[in-house]
Order: sequence, then structure tokens, then C-alpha cells
Amino acid sequence: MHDTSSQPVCPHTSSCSLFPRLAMRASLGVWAALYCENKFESCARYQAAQERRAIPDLLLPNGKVLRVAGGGK
Amino acid sequence: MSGYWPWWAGALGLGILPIAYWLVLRRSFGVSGLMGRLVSVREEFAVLRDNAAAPKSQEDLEALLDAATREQFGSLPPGDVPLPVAVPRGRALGARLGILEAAAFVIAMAGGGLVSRLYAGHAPGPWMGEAFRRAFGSGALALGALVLGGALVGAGTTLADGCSTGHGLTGSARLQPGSLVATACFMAAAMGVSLLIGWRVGL
Amino acid sequence: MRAIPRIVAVAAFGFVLGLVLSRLGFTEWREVHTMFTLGLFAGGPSASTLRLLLAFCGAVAIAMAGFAVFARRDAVPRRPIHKGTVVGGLLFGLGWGVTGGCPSIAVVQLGEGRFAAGASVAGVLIGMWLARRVTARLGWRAGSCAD
Repeated sequence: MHDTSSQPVCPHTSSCSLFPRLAMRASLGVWAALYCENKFESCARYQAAQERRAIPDLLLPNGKVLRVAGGGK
Repeated sequence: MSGYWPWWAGALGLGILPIAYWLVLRRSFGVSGLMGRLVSVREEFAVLRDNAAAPKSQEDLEALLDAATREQFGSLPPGDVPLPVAVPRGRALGARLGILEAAAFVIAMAGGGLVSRLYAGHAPGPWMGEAFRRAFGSGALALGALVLGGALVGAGTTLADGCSTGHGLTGSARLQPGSLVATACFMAAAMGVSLLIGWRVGL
Repeated sequence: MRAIPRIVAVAAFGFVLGLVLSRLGFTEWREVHTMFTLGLFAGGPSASTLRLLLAFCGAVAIAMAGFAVFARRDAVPRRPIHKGTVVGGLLFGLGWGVTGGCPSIAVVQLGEGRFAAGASVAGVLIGMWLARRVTARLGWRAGSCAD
């Protein structure tokens, strides 16, 4: 299990609309383990928010956007 | 325009908005962010297109998420991977409002002004009233003051990530530190400028 | 509630905000000036000169109660202190003192027919656009994306 006491957590978890979706399936926690708890500064959503850019609803932390029929960028 | 509402009616009218907005839309009530959408048109429309291509059903969404997870991590983890921060119980944040909704909000605000004026029964005139005229005239200086002042408002609310509604009303009601500090700052600055104008112009 | 399209709900909120701000007198430059000077130039502080301030404080109190009652456990977005908080607040207040309006007020004024407010609105949009470019260039980060 994770020891979160020493890891900085992304300050945007309360305003990120993707974060609650990661709780849909327990196995999706890997994303949060890599980004939200760990390298949140490399999260595409975090970067977009910091630069005041628009954020697609389904922009994943690795920069991919979930789309039907064809996947993301 | 005369015949203003009493303070408590206004307090009620404004005060219910943040919680109602949260309950209905699951967003934090604020104006400057929405107006900011209007200056990033190209980007916002790109996001609209992205969002329109989103999976419509829960199964499709989960399938796409699984696929993306496998692509990123090599495989789906066999068991539970606990989230580092628990997803808060209670209502979660709603989807971000896009440029069309932002435009609707802004136009509707103007609509509220229009209806208010019709209710009042007389037009307020194209300018800002007698006191403003004494301070800035009604020529180029006045227009310049409005544009420059407006630019300060726009820049300031962008830097502070909120305006009188977002920080002053919603954020303060939630005792958010950024909102309390921002509100204190803009109140102090506005009071200072207003005092200065009042004295210099002899209002 | 679920059957109402979001855009309609959003517009309804905008409409109510605009209506209330206008009916209260927030769109009148003199009224706002009186609020920010605590009535000093209008005969001193009184219930009538402090009307807007009372309305605002009352609104915050009611909003606070609303959240406490209905949203105690909810994840309402945070608004933390960040790099632009103080400077942004100061610049915003400066502009507000001059124009008599914040972003919402300027738009409502335009709706009322105060066409000069178009200059304020234009200024606001220009300021927002500029600030976004400059902060991107400088690497000044946003504190949140709450709105």
C-alpha cells in the first residue's frame, strides 16, 4: 500500500474533473499513483491548468485525449 | 436608476447563487473564468471538438480508459491500486463549462440588466452618471479611463484567478485562503482609488 | 433538474446575477463609489450609504450558510494563495475603483443600455488576453481552475 505522507499530492485534485473518474475502477489508481501522487507536474492536465489553457474533459495525464473511434493524439 | 432593492433582498438574491450553482452544475460560481473563455476562442473550440468526440456510454468510456491504461502502463494492474488521496465523499466536481456555455452566461447577464432596466421603466443613459462625469468627463479621457480600468480588471482577475463573484462571494463563503487574500486586496485597492478620486474631484 | 440542458441552467444563473446586481444598484458608478468610500462623500456612513456593502456581506453570510448546510462533504474547488493572488487583487481593485465595475458589472451595464460600458468590457477582455499571454511567457502559474 502507499505511504503518502512523504509524497506531494497534486493540489488540483479537488478541481480536476478527471480525478473522480479514476475512482470508477480500483485498477485505474495506477494513473493517480504515477501522476497525482507523484509526478503531478508532468500531468498534461496540471500543465494546462497552470498555463490557463483549456482542458478537454477526457485529457489524460499523459497527454492523450480519449475519443471514440480512433483513440487520442 | 432609482427604486433599488433593499440590502437584504439583494443579499438573498446573491447569497443563494453559489450553493445553487454548486448543487445544479457542480462548479464553483465565478465570472472571470467564464469571460476568460471568450478570449481563447480557438483553443476553446478545439476542446469542444474533443469533448464532442467523447464516448457516450459508461462501458465505452471504461473500455477506452482500460485501453489507454494498458498503453501507458503495459497492462492493467491485477488488483486494487488505492488512490493516494481519497476521492471525497459527497458531490464531485462537474465538467468544466465550455465556451458556448460561457457565452450564454455572459449574454444572460446582460439580459438580466436589460430586464432590470425595463422593470425600472427608464433608461440609465449611455454613460456612468454625474459623479463619473465630474471625475472623468465624457470624452476621450472618460473612454480611455474605462478601457484602461477595464484592462486592469481583466488582468487582475486573471492573475488572481477570480473576481468579486468568484473570490469575493464564493471563495470567501468557503473561507478559501486565496479568496480571502484576493478579496482583501481588491477591496483595499478599490477603496484607496475611490477615496483618491473623491478627494481630487471634490465629490 | 437533470432534464434541463446545462446551457439553459448556466444562462439562468447569469440572468439572475445580472438582474440582482442591477436591481441593487451595483451598476451605478456613484453607488459603487459610495460603497468603496463607506459613504464618506455621501453624507457619512448610514444604512442607506452602506446598502451595497451590507448586501455583499449578507450575501457572503448566506452563501456560507448554504454551503455549510448543503455541501459539507462536497469537494468544492479550492482557491489557494498563489503567485498572482495579491498583485492580481490589487490591480483588479484599482480598475474597479476607476470603472465602477468588475467583469460582471460591466457586462450588466451594457445590458442596461449604458453603452460606455462597452469600453469597460472591451478593456476587460483585452486585459484578460494580455495577462494570459504575459503569464504564459513569464511562466507565472495559475493557482487553480476553479471557475
